[in-house]
Amino acid sequence: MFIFPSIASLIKLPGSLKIIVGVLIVFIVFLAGLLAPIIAPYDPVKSAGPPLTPPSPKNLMGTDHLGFDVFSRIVWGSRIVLQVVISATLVALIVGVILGIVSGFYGGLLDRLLSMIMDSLYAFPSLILAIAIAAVLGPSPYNAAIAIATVYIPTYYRMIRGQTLSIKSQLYVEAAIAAGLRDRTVMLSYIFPNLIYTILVILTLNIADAILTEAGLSFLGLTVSPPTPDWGFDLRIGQRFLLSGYWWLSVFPGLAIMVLALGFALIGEGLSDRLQLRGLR
Amino acid sequence: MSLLSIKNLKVYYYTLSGIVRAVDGVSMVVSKGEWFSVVGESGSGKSTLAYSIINLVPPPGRIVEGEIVFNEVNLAKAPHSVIRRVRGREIGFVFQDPMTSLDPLRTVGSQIKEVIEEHGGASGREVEVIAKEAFSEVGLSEEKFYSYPHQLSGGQRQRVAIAIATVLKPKLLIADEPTTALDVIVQRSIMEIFWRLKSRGMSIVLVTHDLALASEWSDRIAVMYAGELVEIGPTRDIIEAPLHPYTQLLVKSTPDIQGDKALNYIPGEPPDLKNPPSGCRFHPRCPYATEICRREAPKPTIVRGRIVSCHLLSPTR
Repeated sequence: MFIFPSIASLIKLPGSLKIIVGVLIVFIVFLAGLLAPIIAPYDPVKSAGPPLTPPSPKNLMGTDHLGFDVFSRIVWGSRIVLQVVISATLVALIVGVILGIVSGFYGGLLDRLLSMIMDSLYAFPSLILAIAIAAVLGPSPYNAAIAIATVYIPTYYRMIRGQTLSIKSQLYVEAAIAAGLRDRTVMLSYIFPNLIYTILVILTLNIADAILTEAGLSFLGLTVSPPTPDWGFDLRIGQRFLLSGYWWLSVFPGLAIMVLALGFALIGEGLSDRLQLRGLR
Repeated sequence: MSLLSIKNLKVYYYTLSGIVRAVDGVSMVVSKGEWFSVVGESGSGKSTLAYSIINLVPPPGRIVEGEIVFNEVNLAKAPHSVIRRVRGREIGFVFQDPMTSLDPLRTVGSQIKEVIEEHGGASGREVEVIAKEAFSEVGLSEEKFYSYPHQLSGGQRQRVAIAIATVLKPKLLIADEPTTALDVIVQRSIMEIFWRLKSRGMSIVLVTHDLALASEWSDRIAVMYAGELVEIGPTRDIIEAPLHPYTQLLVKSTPDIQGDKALNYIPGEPPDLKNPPSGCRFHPRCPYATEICRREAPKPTIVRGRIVSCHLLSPTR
């Protein structure tokens, strides 16, 4: 009863609306990526009509300068965004959380060294640093993921280190140490479970940010090579035709980026609303 | 036979506003199967003394000097891996606040089982058997094994904490104000658990501010004042014929439930451990203080079977 409150009481909690809308958006985009071959009416890299056709029932979002269907390209393009962003944030999360817990738990020289490295990484604007790393590694979705992961490790590290410091001073952690438990056990079964909520909040807020960074990288052509469908890259191609009045080439990929980022941001905001309530209680 | 022997222990906290000398030259011996109580007011350094035995002094504090010899191992200098194995297996520790000394996210049963497994105390089915045995030892029913801490009362939680601390049958149990957060009835039942453990050969070090409680249960009492032990002796002697002026005043300020004696208090306040008084640390509050008390710190001397640090009792005077 304590653990599974009813759905009705869950909805009344603060942040519920944000979470529901956010989850819905993310779910739809995931579904689109998963079922792209079924949903997309055309092959994203084959001509689906005359070039630069405005939106119509036949081509929902029009066609681009090569006659490719924009809607189909967006549906297929969600795969690249999701793959790059999710693998990057998972890597950043795992590395950042492990380093943060170890650093906060042990303190001392290791902590100071890691903090220094992380702070210097954090000092760079994330997009610029990601561009620099991706440019050095060369354009590919894999390298883009590495660049994004590197940029976001400090975000996790700093939050988790701070939380670990405060959880470490809790008496039950001290009691676990006094009972002679191994450091590893104390970190894994006493500190980590108390971090899960925080991790969830940073993760969702961070994914939203990472989506924008990924879009920035693909805008510069650092993730895929044409004609692979990709939101950021399509946005950039469309930009050339924007002033000539062919707005649908850029606007729809741009909207897709915005909506997906919004979805994750809403989940994160909703979760942190709930976290604050817990703190006030 | 001595189990724990502390020699000239100094534990200081290096804070930004100065060095706090929480434990400053403490020596004491705890024998096998003995109940030894350390009594002192708040801020006298008694908790720091307790923590330092298992090397758990929180930063910025650290052991500056001295020896903590337990079972012929000097814990003050031992490597982390040695101390880790002593904690929980050789020395159990019970904290003051049972409300926060258990992890709120996990059942109490899983927490005690983990301690057994980590020390290689048993494996498989046996772990649960041993854990449940420890629960019944402290008077907890088996169903509590699957409870979360928030489902238990303060007294029950402290029983769980004691079960965890003693499940591996340590030779020494250190309890830092274990009953301060509990009511007197629960306090008594907790003391009875300690008494049972002691009767099986476990040594108990009870740290408390409650002289009455200590005098009821302990074999010997050490009185701590401003980071120093001013008097150590058998309980009966300390209560009936205290030698050190501080102990005398402390005994007089303990309420008596039957007697009609007036309740005394000790004038003044405990000294600032960042800047302790010169000479004898008790001299500003001592009614018998003389010139030498201001100038020179008294040395611990044996007087009538007790160790006392006071110029008034020093044989050289």
